Amino acid sequence: MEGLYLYCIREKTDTHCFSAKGIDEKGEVFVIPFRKLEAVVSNVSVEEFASEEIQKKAKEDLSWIKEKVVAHEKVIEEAMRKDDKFLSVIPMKFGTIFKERVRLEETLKKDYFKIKKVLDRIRGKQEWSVKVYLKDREKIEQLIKEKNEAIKEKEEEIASLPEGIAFFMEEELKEVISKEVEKELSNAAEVLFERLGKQPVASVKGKILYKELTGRQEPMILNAAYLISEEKIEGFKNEAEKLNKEIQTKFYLEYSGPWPAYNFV
Amino acid sequence: MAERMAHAIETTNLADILERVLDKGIVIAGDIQIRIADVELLTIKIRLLVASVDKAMEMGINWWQSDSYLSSKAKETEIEKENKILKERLDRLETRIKAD
Repeated sequence: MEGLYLYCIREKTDTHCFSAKGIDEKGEVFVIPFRKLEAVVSNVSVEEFASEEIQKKAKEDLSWIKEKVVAHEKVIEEAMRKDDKFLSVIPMKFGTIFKERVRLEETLKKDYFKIKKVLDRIRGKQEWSVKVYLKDREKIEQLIKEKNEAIKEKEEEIASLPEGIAFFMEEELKEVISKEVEKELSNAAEVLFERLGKQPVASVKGKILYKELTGRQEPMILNAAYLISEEKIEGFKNEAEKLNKEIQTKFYLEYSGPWPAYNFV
Repeated sequence: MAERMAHAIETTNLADILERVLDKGIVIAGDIQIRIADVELLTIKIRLLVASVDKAMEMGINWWQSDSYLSSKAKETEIEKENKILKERLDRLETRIKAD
């Protein structure tokens, strides 16, 4: 049985050709129009995607996950583009399948006004991602040691103590410093987040991603997404680059976009 | 240090894609839902995988983290090419054995 995998919903267009293949790597991507909307979908085998094997792969097989997630994203990114313009689309969470076309149409009918409202809200706006990484933790530690009187005093005290006691106090002090570093980093992240938030119409802070996922040596200290009006994108990028220069002794900043508005739907 | 700025969407780290596709986006109730672990669980899985292999750098980290879908495609064609060369060599060897 053929079902429909749903990637995203957008306002009706006249561009219905997709070069990306569907989630199963063979199905053509096409649109199903519904009043002023259209759903971007591809045919998939219901038997295959409802199978235990697939559900198991989705939980365990990292390369399968990677491949499918990228395929999902690629279709949505293509659905966002019209010539050199960007369309507003509502991206779906991964893995939504309808058994029949009429079931999808029922859903579009039921949620029609909700979907329209979201599209109205994000029309003419783009999601951009900003991530900030810490270059050198020791440098921050050093700054704290120089600045913090209590820590300085403690260090002097330790220097005058016998070795055995000094060891335990040193451990204690390390913990105190580490907490101070965390505080400093979260303050810095907050300041950067606010600073870039002046031009966008909305902003959201995401989870800090671990090194396993980012593939970076440097730890992430800020993971932010901004929703920006088209005419303000250039200004936003300039601000991000200016900021990156200002913070370059301690951090580096990366921005990317436009993304489907995952964080603002 | 070189400044890393202004990434085009095509070269963005996989982490950005995973985070969005797995944890964000609108949820509409379909007839079937494929459930993938969220980003948190995925991180734990990768950590376990990397920890269980001696040569983490060789096997785990590079393979999972840093290649974009473009470079993974490049890898595929490389493997295909290698396969083709090996097959040809095998064919030649087989014909030679038969001829002997």
